[in-house]
This record gives sequence, C-alpha cells and structure tokens, in this order.
Amino acid sequence: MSSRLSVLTLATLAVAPMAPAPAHAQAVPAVIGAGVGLLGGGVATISLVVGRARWESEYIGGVEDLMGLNGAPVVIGIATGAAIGFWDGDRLRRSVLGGVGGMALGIGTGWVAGTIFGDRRADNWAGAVIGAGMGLAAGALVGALWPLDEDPASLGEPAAALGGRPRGIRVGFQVPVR
Amino acid sequence: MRRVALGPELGVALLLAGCGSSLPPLPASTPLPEPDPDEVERVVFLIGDTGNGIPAQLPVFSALGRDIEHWAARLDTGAVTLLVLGDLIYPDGMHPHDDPEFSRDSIILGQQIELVTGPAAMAREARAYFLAGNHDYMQETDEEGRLRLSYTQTFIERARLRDGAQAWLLPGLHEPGPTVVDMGERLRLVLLDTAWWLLVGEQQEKNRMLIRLDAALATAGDRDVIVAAHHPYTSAGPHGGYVSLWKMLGIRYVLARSGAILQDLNSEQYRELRLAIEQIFERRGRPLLFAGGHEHSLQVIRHYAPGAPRWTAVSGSGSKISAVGRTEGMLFGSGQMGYMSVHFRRDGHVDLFATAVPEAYNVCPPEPTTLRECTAAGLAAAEVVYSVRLK
Repeated sequence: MSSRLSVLTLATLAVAPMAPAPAHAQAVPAVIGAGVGLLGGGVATISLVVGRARWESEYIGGVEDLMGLNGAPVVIGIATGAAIGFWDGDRLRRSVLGGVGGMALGIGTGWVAGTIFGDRRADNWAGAVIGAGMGLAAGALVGALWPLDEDPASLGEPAAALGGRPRGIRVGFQVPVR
Repeated sequence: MRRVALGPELGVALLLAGCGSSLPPLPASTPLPEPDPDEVERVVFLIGDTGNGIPAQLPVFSALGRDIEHWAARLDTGAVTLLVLGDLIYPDGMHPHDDPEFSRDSIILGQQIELVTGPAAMAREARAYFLAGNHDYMQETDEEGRLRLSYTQTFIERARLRDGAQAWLLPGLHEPGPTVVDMGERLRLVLLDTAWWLLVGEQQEKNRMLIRLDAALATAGDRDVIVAAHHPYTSAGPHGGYVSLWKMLGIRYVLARSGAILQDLNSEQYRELRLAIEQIFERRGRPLLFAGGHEHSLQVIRHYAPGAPRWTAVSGSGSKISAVGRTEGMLFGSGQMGYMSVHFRRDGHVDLFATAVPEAYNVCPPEPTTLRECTAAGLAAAEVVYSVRLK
C-alpha cells in the first residue's frame, strides 16, 4: 500500500499547479474540485481494493475496511481536486471530462477483459471496477496536464501586466525521436 | 472465448436493486401439519449467528429452548441435537479471561449452552454442537484469531465438565474437520469449519480436509447426510451478492459483485471451496441438506444440479437480521429472527420447519419486569412460518 500511496502522492504533486492564485472568485471551483475529487477518490479506493483482492488475495471484511489506508485516494482526490479548482478552473473542467471519459472507457474495457480472461463470474465486475479506477486516474491526469489553448497575443505579455499572476503554466520536455 | 453477456443472476440482482421491495413471489407452499412426537424419531435444530446480544433478551432463544425441551421430553435419549452454526460471539469472538469483555462474552455463550441444560434436555442428553464462524476467529487470519477460538472451546469444555452440558465445539480448534457424527442408523452429520478455510487454512491442510470430506460422504452408506457449516452453500442474502444498489451509495453492491469481500460467497476462496465440495458431492452422492448461517435470515433453497446438495437451509438469524433477495430454487426467504428444525420421521420422511418471532419481539429491554412480559409475549407470538418435506 505504501508504494501505491507514494505514486498517488506524486501524481497529486504533479497535477497541483505551483503558481500563486488570485484571492477572489476561486472558492467555488475549489469546492467543486473537492467534491469531484471525493467522488474520483472513492472510485479509485474501490478500484484499488478490488484490484488487491483479485491479484493479491487481500480481501476486505466489509465496507468499514475502506477506512484507514484503503481510503487514502479519497483524501488525495479531495486535496487534488480542490487545488486544481482553486488555481485553474479550466484545468479542473478538463480533468473532470478526462476522468469521466477515461472511467467510461475503463469500465467497458475492464468488463470485456474480465469476461474474456477471467474464470469466475465476479471477474467481469472486478475488471470493470479496476478499469474504472485506472481509466479515471489516467483520464483525469491527462485532462489536468493537457496544454491549454492560449491566446497567442497574450503569450508575450509580461506577468506584471496581468497583476503579477500567470495565466497558465507550460511544462516543456523533450522526447527523442529517431 | 467466453461470451460477453449479463448472466441471469446479474439480471435478477439489478432488478432487485432497482425495484427495492418488489421481489418476485416465491412458490406457494402448503404448510405441513404439526409433527406428532410418536411419528418422529429424531430432531435436529439449526440456529446461527447467535452472538449479537444477551440471549435472555432475545425471545427467539426462549422459543428455541422451549422447543428443545418439548422434543427432548417426548423422544428417546440422544434424539435431539442442536447445531449452532457459528458467530457465537460478536464482534470479535471470546476475549481472554482477564479482559473486561470476557464477562459479557461468557454470558452470551453461556446462555447459548443453556439451551441444552433444561430438565428434559439434560435427562435425554440433548446435544449441542457449536461451529465456528468468522467472528469467532475475530475475522483474523493470524494467531490472535485462533486464540479467540481456543477461549471459546475452553469455555464450552468447562461447561460440559462442570455442569454436565452436552456441548462441544466441533470441529475443534486446529481441526478444520469435517467432524463426522453418526446419529443412529439414519443420519450422519458432517460438520465443517468453513471460517477456517477462508481465514486460516493453508493449501495442504485444505487438501486433507477435502479428502476427509470425501471419505465422510463415501462411508455414509444409506444414512441421510446433513453437511453443516457457518457459511451456507448458497444464499440470496447480502453475502450472496444480493445487496441493494442504493444502500451505502452502491459501494457495498459494487464490492459484493466484484468479489472483494472475503466473507461473501463469491470471494475466490469460497468459490474454491464450493467447487471442491461440488466435485465430491457429484462423486459420492448429494447430501440431503447443507445447513449454514452467516446470512442473518431464514432461507430454504432446493437444488437439482448433480454437484449441489439436495437442499440448502440458511438459518443465521439467531440474533441479527438482514434482507433477503431471491435466487434460483428458492422456496422460502425471510429476514425474521428465528431457527429451523429438521424432523426425521419414523416412516422415512424428513420435514423441515422454520420458526420465527415477529419483529416487535426481536430484542427485549433488560429491566426484569418488562423483560418477563416481553419474553412471554414473544414466546407466544413465535410461530412456524414455513415448512417443507425434504424427503
């Protein structure tokens, strides 16, 4: 579980913008982000629990076992959602859209995979639930990190002209192409 | 390659989940007449999940004690048997002697043992066999769980040695079973510790258990066989996957359908056990009845498949209740507190009766006067709610 927590924490840090935010008009998106993060974290928690049962034979005794470490994705989801909503409502919207799309795709793919490769009736459900969590996480991450469409005219505008705050953050990296 | 399709059970589950209380009706049944003691050779009582309260406050225990006395007084010595189908003490089994919880635990278990210490029960040597449930192992897979069960076994042994109560924990600690108890020429009880299988058992021990189960059925001869365990063969209750979609925001439903809960009947471990015993049943002959608790309800299910027992009885509403859905072959299902009795008639027939108390008398208040009145009213209101001829 600790390794999963580490991965989730890193994912949280990766999507959380580091730039300062305006003090006004960000509370509502932050609350929405926290709510969305709660739901997403809940899906991720259930997905992790089902995955551990399926692959590691680590079963839970009942719903009450979702508390504690198993519920860490909920906390991370709330924090991440609130942070994204607070700093960048547009990215939150993209993250939600990406997460929902990814979850839908994951459910379908997981159900089919569980049915084809599984050997018991619960496997299609397990596949769908695991797929939902994976799809949601991947979709939300892609949605949050996807470059925003920017007004080319404003690209060169100094931050000072915008009241000292950047409009967006561009993360650049190189991919070697042969 | 398997076809991608929604199975019929999933369809039923979704239907139940969506419709809430509108369950499909169960087949109509004709109640059997009250059995005449002269025509009955032997009675086996079934009650499970008994450890969720002080038995003296639960009229279902009074009703069961009354019935045990009734039949013990009218039948031959050793003809009445009580099977207590696990989860004897909630939530964590029996605590050690020096734990503050021990006194509560000892009252709960002690009053269960008292079911076979009435005058007639003692005179006619009515026996109680207690089976372990997952809560008696504290739901733990480690040594602590086995320790809790050892305290339970010690308590029952002391009651037997000190008070003469004919009570045993079977299979005993470190003996997953099956324990075979032959009752005359007509009946063989095969007692399994399914909680051990799910929580403790290692593969080699599991294999040995299956070999012993095979032998127990192979040597049964013409006897009717009742296989008893804490976990039922099948169920239309929450552990069988029949959970309302709307309850707990659907979380319990999704976990149940995905097989993530160890104590659900679709967990990989339980399915492995069920598959193995189905192969044995198919090879050695189908037992008359598979009796289990675990679900807090009363259910009677008839099976026709070659690897299934002929009947499943779920009798796990000794101190808790939960909802019941529907499953294939189901003839009776009720979320009432109650117990069952299996009557072996001298003419060879075997009848099953389910007795329940109305919800108003599930638990009585502890004040002595109110408790007496409530218990008397509950006792008077207890009635047979279903009966069927098993054979």
